[in-house]
Amino acid sequence: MKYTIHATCSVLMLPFMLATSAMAGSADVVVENAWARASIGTSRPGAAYMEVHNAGDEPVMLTGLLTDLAMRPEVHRTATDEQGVSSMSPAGDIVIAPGETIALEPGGLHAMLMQLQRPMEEGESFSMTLTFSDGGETTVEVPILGIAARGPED
Amino acid sequence: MTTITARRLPEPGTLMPYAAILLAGAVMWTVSTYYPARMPAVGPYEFSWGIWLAVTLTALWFARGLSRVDSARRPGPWRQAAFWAGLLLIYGVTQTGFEYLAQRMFFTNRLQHVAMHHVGPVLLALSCAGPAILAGGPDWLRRACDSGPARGVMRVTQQPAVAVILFVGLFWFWLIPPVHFVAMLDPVLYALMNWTMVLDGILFWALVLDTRPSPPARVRFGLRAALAVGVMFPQILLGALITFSQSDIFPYYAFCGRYFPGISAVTDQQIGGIVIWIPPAMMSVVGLLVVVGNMRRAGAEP
Amino acid sequence: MTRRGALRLGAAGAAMLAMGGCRDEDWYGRNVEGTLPDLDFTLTRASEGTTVTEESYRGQVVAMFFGFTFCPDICPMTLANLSALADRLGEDAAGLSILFVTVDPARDTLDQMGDYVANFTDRADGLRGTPDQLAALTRRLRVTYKVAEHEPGAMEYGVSHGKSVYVFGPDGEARVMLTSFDTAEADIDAAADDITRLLA
Repeated sequence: MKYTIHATCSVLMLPFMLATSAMAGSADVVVENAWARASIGTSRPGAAYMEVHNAGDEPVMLTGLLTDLAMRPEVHRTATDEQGVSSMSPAGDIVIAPGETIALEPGGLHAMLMQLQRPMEEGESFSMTLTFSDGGETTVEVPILGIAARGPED
Repeated sequence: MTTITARRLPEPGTLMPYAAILLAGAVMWTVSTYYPARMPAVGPYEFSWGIWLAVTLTALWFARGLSRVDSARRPGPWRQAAFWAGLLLIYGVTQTGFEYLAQRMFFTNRLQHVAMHHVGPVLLALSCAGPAILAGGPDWLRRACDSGPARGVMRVTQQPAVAVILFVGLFWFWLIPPVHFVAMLDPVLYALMNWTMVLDGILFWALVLDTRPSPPARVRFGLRAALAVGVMFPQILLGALITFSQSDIFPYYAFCGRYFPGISAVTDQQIGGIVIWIPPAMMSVVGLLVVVGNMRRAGAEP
Repeated sequence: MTRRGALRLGAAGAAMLAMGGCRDEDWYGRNVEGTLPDLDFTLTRASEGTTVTEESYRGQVVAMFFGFTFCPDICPMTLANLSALADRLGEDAAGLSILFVTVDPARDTLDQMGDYVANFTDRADGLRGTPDQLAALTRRLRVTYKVAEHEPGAMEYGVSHGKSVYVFGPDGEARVMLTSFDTAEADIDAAADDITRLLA
């Protein structure tokens, strides 16, 4: 039933629906406290951290990252919350419930910047785009802190 | 070795196996100490002279003793098979690459302990290998087993009450969280933990699975059946306590790092809890069936 | 009798828990004195390529941890926390040696190791061993590490490793384990108190 209505609607109001879904979902995403650690050259992957808050009424799904700094930016999870071995794996799509915030922070989720195109220099910044399942995007400017930085305030 | 030859001058053939055991041990010790990264997985993760000598000498004396004991006391083919399986299992969980796993995950550690305390010792006790080992062993072994202190230790540890307290208590003791933490980090305590598990397991199951009526066996068949089943309940309780724990009660594994990082502390504990819950309970049931069978064969009253 | 045994063990357990609690409350790190084996290793120091052993660090408090330089998250965070610790110690930091041991000697060359740690703090040494030297040390300290299967010469592959920092006193005796130095929750002040006590 739902699908029938949905199908009918899509035919009639496709452009309008796309616009509203973008507004209801990822348009309400707020990114705060973004930071990254300076890299040594470009041979090793870099990491960026941030808090992603869903201020809207519907769940949003973070599906990917885009930046010209790295060829392959991916959200990874360091699985050390309860067990001591740290091993990284792509985190897959991340759903953020309405009102919830997911933290990309050391020891947990992080934006892994693989195949750096240029060194990450302390004091500079780069822009990174978060893409969501509804087609929406949020772009954030990420400041690059020192290599020994431990959080966004360092 | 030279002292042995000087004292008793046995024929060279009897010394060859000892020389082979020492030589093989020396090779494994060298690789384990200086080339640990090159040790194959079937070799010891950390070589132990104690375990190596205990296992190989027991095997040697048993094999040698088979032809020396009279047919009434010679274990039949399936009892011999149980002996080799039990010995190989205990060796396998302590002196191969499995040992690394047993130190890096709670549930593999529990598998190791169940093998050392329940399954391996049940197999060894089933084999009734004692007379053959004594017959195949050197004189000093028979003298030592016959000595006052050895008899005293056996008299005390084979009291049913003491045997149960040791069997249940030791398994619980090494799982008291602070005790487990230190035992996993301290090599001496770690070795002590594993030795107490194996020795206590053999003592307990040898008492329960004795094929003879009482006397000469220490306790009556009825009590043996009760022992086999009785130890199951505290084991189930412990398994349940750990399985249903919602927090990380054994943080050693988190601090040193789990071998499978994808398995969380609580999941690891759940699997480990079931490992010490189900298989030991099954061994109790097996033990009960064996006791009943022994009783029938002996034509005894419970 | 089973019940009595259980009660006795329960009492013993409670007593030991209480003891454990008392012993640990003084330290920020997890107290492993008299438990974990002493420091004992042979590795190559990245900065000048010389062979070093535990003797090379006698008189120093040693904070040893394991990782690899291609690690984007845990290892830089741990080194960053340890660098902050050295900063907090001020002049006392001269008595602290931070030893970063690579578990991926195939990819982490001596030059890379030296370059990497030098970017954090001058109190840190990058150490690299042969597979045998590394296996002996990690077996002694019960450290887990696993390098994922990969083509020889590949530059991208996964490595997992234990994350604790092992702290040894000036005579090489094991003292405490810092278990949350891979996160932002690391309490630098409290850890600095531990190091100061060990230096005293």
